[in-house]
Amino acid sequence: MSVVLHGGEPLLLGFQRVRKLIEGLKSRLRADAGLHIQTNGVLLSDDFINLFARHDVGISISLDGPVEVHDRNRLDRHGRGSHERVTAAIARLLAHPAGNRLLTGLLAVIDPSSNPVEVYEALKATGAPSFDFLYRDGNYAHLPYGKARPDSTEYGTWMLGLLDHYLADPFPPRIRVIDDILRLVLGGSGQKEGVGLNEYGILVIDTDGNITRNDTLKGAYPGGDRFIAEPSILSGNLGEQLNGAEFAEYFDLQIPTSPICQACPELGVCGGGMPAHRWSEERGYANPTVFCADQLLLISAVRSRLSAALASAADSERSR
Amino acid sequence: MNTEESGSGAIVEEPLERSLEIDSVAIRRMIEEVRSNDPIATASHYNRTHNKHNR
Repeated sequence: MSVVLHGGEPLLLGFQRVRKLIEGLKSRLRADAGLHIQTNGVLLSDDFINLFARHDVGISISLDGPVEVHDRNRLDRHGRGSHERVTAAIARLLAHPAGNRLLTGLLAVIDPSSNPVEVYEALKATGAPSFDFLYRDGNYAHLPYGKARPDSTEYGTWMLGLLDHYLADPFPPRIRVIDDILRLVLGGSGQKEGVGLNEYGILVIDTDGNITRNDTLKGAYPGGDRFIAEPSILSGNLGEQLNGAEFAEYFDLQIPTSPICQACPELGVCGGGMPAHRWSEERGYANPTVFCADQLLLISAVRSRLSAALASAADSERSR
Repeated sequence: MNTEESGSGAIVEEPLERSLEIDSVAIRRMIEEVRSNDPIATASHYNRTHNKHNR
């Protein structure tokens, strides 16, 4: 089990409340439970870093790429870009004696109009050990930013640029989403939601104690992330509430029900993508992901790069 | 596995990833991870956060 503090921006809670929350969680969770924070890094002070070091809280920081890409969308309330502050926070974290242990990686939201190689190199330049990339949220009712049609492949094409640069890098950091696809193609298991068919049992606990479904589902329709029964950790035993019918239905949502997905040879790797990206007003979640064409393009490319790498290595071996 | 004779004549088995020189570091380490079934075999603290959530 693991607990992730995210938002919004969890550090807006303020140092004392974050400290109290972490100390409370640490005292009650099993020793092997993971504790992690996903932050935009703008408020990541030395006090916070020391606190996270004391309690072994993993830190993941959002950074979308070089300044011209990151600051396109990550602006503060005064309209100022945050790139400089975020990269300074990453540097400060890595300068801390526990920094390499704490910084798990950077999380970038893809802008398909950007250059994936420039984004990769900008993230690598921070010294972070791994990156992850997210597709922009969207569905059939509201297409994701930069996607012209459900069958267009702007995101898949962008990922291909990233894939080839990553595979050619002699000193690559880790790219979680590509590693997961590689792992799945090789017969292993994914590590995170969004690919593969693992169910990770993700629940969101709001600051008022309400238990909700995966917050990515709110993009489908108002209240899409809510349980009808409005469960709360303040009103009952969490374990008992998890046995309810609504929870079972929610956890089943991970498995795609579209006949197209069920018949797809890449179902085991793609997993139907994020449920939130399958939504349409006509069929609810019973669709392939709106990124289906992108996923198939990327998975096909991973397979062909793997095959080519193995074939090349075998040729070299034979010619020895 | 590949096998070859050692200097003493004994058969030596080599792991596949050492006998096949795969140029891509990223591919090579993924093959190693899947073969060893250890997600942190090649990168210290990789995925240590158990953060499965796509946020």
